[in-house]
Amino acid sequence: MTDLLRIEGLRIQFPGGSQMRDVVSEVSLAIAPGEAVGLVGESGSGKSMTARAVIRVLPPTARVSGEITFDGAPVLSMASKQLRAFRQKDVAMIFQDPSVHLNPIRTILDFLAEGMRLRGVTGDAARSRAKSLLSQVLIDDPDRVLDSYPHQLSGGMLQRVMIASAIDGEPRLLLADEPTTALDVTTQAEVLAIIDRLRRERGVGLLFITHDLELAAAICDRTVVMYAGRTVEEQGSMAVHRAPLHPYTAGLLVSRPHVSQKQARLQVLPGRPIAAYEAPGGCSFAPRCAHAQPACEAEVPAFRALAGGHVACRRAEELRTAGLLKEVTHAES
Amino acid sequence: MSASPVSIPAPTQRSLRISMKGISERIGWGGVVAGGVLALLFLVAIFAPLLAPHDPNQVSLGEAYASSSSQHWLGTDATGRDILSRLIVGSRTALLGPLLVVVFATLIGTAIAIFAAWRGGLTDTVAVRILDILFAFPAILLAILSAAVFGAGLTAVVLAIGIAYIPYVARVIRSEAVRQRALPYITACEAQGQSALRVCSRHLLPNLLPLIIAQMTVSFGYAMIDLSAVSYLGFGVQPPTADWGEMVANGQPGILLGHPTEALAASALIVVAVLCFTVLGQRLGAPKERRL
Amino acid sequence: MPSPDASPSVSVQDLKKVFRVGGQSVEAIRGVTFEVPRGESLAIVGESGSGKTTLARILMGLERPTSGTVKLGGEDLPNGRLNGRRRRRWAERVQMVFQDCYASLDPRQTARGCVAEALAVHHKAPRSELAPRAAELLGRVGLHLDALPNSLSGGQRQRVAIARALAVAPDVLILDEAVAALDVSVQGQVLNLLADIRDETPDLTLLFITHDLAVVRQVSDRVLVMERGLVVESGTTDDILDRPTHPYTKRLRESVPDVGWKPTATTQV
Repeated sequence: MTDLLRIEGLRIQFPGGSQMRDVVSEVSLAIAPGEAVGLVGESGSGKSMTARAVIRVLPPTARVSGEITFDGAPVLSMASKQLRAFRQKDVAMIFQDPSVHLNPIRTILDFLAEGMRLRGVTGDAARSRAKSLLSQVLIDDPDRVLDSYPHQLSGGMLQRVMIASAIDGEPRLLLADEPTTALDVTTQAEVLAIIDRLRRERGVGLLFITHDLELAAAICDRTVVMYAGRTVEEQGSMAVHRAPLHPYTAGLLVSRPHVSQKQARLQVLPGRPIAAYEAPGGCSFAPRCAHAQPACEAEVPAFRALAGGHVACRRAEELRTAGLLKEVTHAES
Repeated sequence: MSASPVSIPAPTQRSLRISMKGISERIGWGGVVAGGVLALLFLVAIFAPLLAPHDPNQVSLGEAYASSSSQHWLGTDATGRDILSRLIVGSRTALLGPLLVVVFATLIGTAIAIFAAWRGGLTDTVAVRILDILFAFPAILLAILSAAVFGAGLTAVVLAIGIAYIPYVARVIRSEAVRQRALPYITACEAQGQSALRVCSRHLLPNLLPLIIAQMTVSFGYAMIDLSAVSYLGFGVQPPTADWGEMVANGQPGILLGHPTEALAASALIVVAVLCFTVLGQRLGAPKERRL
Repeated sequence: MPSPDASPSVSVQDLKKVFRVGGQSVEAIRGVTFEVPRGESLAIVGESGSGKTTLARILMGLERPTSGTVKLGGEDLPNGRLNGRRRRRWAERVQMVFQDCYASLDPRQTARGCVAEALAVHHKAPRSELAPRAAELLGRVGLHLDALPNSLSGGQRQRVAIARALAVAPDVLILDEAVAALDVSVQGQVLNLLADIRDETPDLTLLFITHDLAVVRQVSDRVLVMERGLVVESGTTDDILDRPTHPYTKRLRESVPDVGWKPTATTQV
């Protein structure tokens, strides 16, 4: 089976002071056609930059190396015409704050019709197409919304419009960068459900970027965890919750308060998340890791296969056997 | 309970101690050079009568447009006056005039800006309207008017241009003050129970300082030009008193006659002074630490 | 003067707030009543437009209520603009930690300077002791360095903001989405810190303004659920989270992602 998207050894650097600084050091992941993959990380992990690299919308000062292939075609070496076709037809992206991606003096119809014009769909055809797109994102009164300006609509509605615009080109891959972070909790649930349904119905591959392991588990088949510009764990989403492979993932799971039960004190990770360029030699998580040994600081652990997933921790088997990467389900305590 | 104003010994002696290294760390060597040049210019201005080799106003028609010599290092102007001496003495009005304008306009403009931004609502609206009305008066026109009423001379002109500059200063600073006013750190100060005066003077003003300094440097350049223009028109610095701006105007015919020294030297000094103010202003405007 | 323990720490009666926006009236709070006993931790839960932030601003004296009364420790919120001594006196009753840890500290003031100022404004320490007392307070929130905000991480900034609030020794501490902007691994640290502070100062009343029900479970004794300016349900944390009765509370509870959770969508009206 060929992967829809394959990222291999991706590295992104920006000029910082006199030298180049890593923002992403080494990211490898793959998405099969129709598969949903969650990319989870805290601030500075490089998750958004990874997604931007896929459609090559990084700032011009960025230096990118490694390999990104879409359906076998190398993305990083595409010529501009090819790249445009790739962005128009194959991939779409939705962002955290929809309002900054919409022109405030144009109606929603103008916005949706703009993409259609490139394919020669105009006038009444564009309007009826826009209406059908809005009903697919469960908007009840598409006519009113089409004639509205962005400021007249709520954040949740705008995000639905963005999703409608994203599926307009029938993409095979959808990149969603924290699409619900700016939304209210109840709205978040609705928008997630729409994304989930659309990608299942249409067999669209999904890369869902979030800082929330629970959200990733809710709509993604697999979860990839990033820390300081590196992929540190990859597993089935439920398996990540049941049996995390990396101490960082395990730490994240226990440090978060749970709605279903109160803990006397949360078992927190010490310190703060770091960016790739701040990472020390060796394992970048070692300074915060309760299980770190001197050897962990010697070299960067390889991202290797383990228990049906992948992990970048030299002590993963050992910790797993000893039960130190504790199962975290709320039924437990 | 005594109502003495609470004050924190904020920047302690440590940060007030003047050391060359400390200064250069804060403003960089570029800032040190700019500051040095400005200090030199101001020193020259202060001691001008002692430094000038000749009487700047001594006309000697026989020596008109003399080229540089050991007698006259930069030569003489159309009426045979020593250019170097006129530059040295001219630095007094050239620097003092704009400085007074800028300081006056900044003090009043900033006070209006902060007051309007702090109170908001009707106060703000009224303040903005008054500034708009002031905007309608061009600086030079106001200066000529005041010269007509109070008589030509530096004082009246400086005051008039200073007043005309208030809206320029106030408008820019007000818009930033309104923005800062809405930031949570100002709300946090209010919520902490600080008086309005304290929040404005200890939090709002310091955070506006980079902009105020930048605005001052820009205004300094414009003020120099406006004052020169007024001098050129004959309302400001009265001949035969030397002034750089007046010298640029005076030297203009000389450029065509092949004697550009006077106009070029005076312009160069204006450029250098404005440049140094800009560099220094930028460096001083960069955030500095305020430790306890 | 009545004994301070006799009256509830926070008492809000039939509070209303109407904003005038472009000639239209917008009712942000439409009649809210509640009391919080001394030392209790109350979560005020709601989404955008619920009025929870306006409520916090009124309690802080930053916004005038249109009608209704607010009492903290038996003392009425003074009428009119809070200024000078009245502002300071009210601030001694209630302090607040803001959501945006990147903008709620003066960028030109170091951590220690910030806490020292709070002490100085409220005459909590003589001049010579400001610096050591500030350092001590910062140590209490786990911060053992002095730096400008832009060289502090989000979690460290929020610790400074907490220390600044505690310096005033208020009766009530309002936390307006105080951990929402923090990274997951840092959120837990701040929540633990707040739990420690509760243990150390049992008289301190906490008001958590939040939309995050997981945070609510962790930190609050009781919950007030607000929707469009009204309290729709209130009760103990366990009751509200495990046995919600109001449809809105139920929907809120069902929207929280948890293990095994699946989102459900409705058509948008």
